[in-house]
Amino acid sequence: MVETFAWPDGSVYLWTGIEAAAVVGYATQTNAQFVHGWANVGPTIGGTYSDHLTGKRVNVSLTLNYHPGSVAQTMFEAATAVHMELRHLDGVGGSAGYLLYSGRFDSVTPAGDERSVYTLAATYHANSWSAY
Amino acid sequence: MSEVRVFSEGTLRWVQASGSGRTWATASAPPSGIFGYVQEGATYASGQQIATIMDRGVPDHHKGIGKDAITVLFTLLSTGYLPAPSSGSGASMPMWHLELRESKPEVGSGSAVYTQFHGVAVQSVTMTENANGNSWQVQGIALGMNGPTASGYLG
Repeated sequence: MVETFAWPDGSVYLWTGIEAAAVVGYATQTNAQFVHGWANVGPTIGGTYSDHLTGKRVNVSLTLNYHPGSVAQTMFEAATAVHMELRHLDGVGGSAGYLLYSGRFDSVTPAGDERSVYTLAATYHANSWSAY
Repeated sequence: MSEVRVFSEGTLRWVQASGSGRTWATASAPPSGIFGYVQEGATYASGQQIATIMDRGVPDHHKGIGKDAITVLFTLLSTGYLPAPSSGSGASMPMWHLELRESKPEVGSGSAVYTQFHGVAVQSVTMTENANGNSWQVQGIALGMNGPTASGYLG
């Protein structure tokens, strides 16, 4: 079997139609949930069921260490849609990831704690993607 | 085989760091020097975190999931002068670079092996007053290291 992926193997890129692609710096956590909505219909008189796609959505959450000019902040303010790539390269030739198309940032949450670095949490959603 | 190294063959030098500290970057003509009267017991500890991937209960492969910062500890007898680490361009945290030089007199004059510590921030300085020399115990944490290697920066 091929190797598994580890945290240092991963990166997250953002870009819009205007801004050049940029890697999200100092990410400390990423989470992506891909959801298909199905209408499960049946049974027919012949006893079969069918599924009809009702929608697709991916919800992404990121936690970053806050730094000046964070890409997530500027992309949050972008008037256009924002694309995202979740990429893993394991160093021995393996790669995997998702390309998320024309999504939007829902929120950014700067947060500070005593004796800790400033963090910026962000949530994002999109309705179209491809996996590789 | 090469000979072993002993304490008296070593020196510990410092230079003010500049930039991010992840590599040996300094300003032009930065302050540098030898830490005065380094005593026995200098240590460093480097490490990395490994996740061993199991395939149905059998170890299959390792994955590196992180590297630890490198702790550096050394003791010196006080000369009343402790060099100030620098917060150079590109980093807010004052840092030194440190270089341990272990001479190899059996190979020839000037031969040595070097170990460099990049971006050392001072965590603590413990002063102890003794009749035979006041000591400073300095503990720092480095972003990275290189060595042992055949080439040094500080001579």
